[in-house]
Amino acid sequence: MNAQFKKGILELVVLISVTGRDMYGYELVSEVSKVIDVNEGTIYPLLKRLTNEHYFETYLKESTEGPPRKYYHLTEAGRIYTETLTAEWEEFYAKVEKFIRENARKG
Amino acid sequence: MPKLKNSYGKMHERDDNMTGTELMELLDKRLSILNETEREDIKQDYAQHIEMKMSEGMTEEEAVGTLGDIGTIIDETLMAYNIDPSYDKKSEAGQKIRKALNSEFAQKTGETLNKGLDAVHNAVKANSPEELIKLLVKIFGFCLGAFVLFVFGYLIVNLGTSMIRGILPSIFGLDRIVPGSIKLLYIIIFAILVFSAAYNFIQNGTNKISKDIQPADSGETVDVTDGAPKKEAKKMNDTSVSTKLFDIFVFIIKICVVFAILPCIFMLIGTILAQGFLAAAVFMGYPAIGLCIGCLGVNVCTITFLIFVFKLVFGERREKNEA
Repeated sequence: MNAQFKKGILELVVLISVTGRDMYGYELVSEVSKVIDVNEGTIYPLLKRLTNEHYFETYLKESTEGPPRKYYHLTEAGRIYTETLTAEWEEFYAKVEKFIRENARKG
Repeated sequence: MPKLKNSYGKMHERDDNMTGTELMELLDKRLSILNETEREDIKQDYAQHIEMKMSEGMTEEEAVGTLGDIGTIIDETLMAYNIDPSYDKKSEAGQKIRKALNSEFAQKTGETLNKGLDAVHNAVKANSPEELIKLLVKIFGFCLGAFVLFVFGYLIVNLGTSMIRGILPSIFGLDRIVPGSIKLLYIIIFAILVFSAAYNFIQNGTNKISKDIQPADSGETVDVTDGAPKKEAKKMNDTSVSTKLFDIFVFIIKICVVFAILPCIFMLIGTILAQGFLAAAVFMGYPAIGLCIGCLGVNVCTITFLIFVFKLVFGERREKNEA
């Protein structure tokens, strides 16, 4: 898949993953890389950016094994942002889909 | 130079071979602009990632490999803080100036010594006239450099002491003892610098070369073709030589600047005194207003210079506190 496609949609997938329940970094990374095949390392800077932009809140929680884990929680701002992004994506997708279908018929 | 070849050869596949510790060191180095809590937090993320992957049965290197290109990750992390990722390349000159008196210079000296020893070893081992001639040329170049440094040092020491000798009265041989002790002080400072360089050389002379290499342009993570590593190695070589020269240049300038403090302070004391006399003379009706203004100018210049030196020497510490 085209690298630019992935990069654009990665943010949305990350946001949607956290919408349902809070996740810790590694869990989130493995969840996202199931959907989009990216280098797992590139997700961490994205999480950092979304946290810096206050779309995420983080908190530490003890785990049964190993050191405490940093959980990501979607803020209200993050929820609104996710909705906007989703709507944008759907509109974009619909347009491109329509365009492809029309041109396929012509051909 | 077998050691060098190895480290350059390894470079293009560095990401696959990097251990967790190396990754942490790289993060420390390239994210040094961030404050410590943030940096530790980021390092913690990757450390945990590697740990998790290893608990799934991967080796440490494989675990680091799953992260992808480290250069890209660092660039993106910096961008998450709205920092231009090329900042550390741009301000390299500034950092060099600040670090020239400390570890940077010492490390580079260590590297240079290491290379020189390698060259001698190779030349003797190969027993070929070409290698020996090359070595002789290098030694000649080194001697020339040393001579230039010596001239510099001579100038500085004499600038610093001759003025004092002019000011001090010649009772009890004061005009000889004080400049002599200042000369001694200069020699001690120089010796300390050389010793710290040697110490750093012993500590990380050999492995410093591979560690010091900056991650190359982190655009796309395409497979490296046969031609690429050679080209890259050449590029690295050029930059390391030029940075070394630059370091030495900066170091010389810095020494000149710092060693000029003493004559500067004496001059300041002198001109402030003169200023007082001249001001008094002006009020008494002597036509000394021009001299008085000139004196003021010298005072301001000297103070500015002293502040500049102060900032140069202590600037680094303050900046660290701000970050």
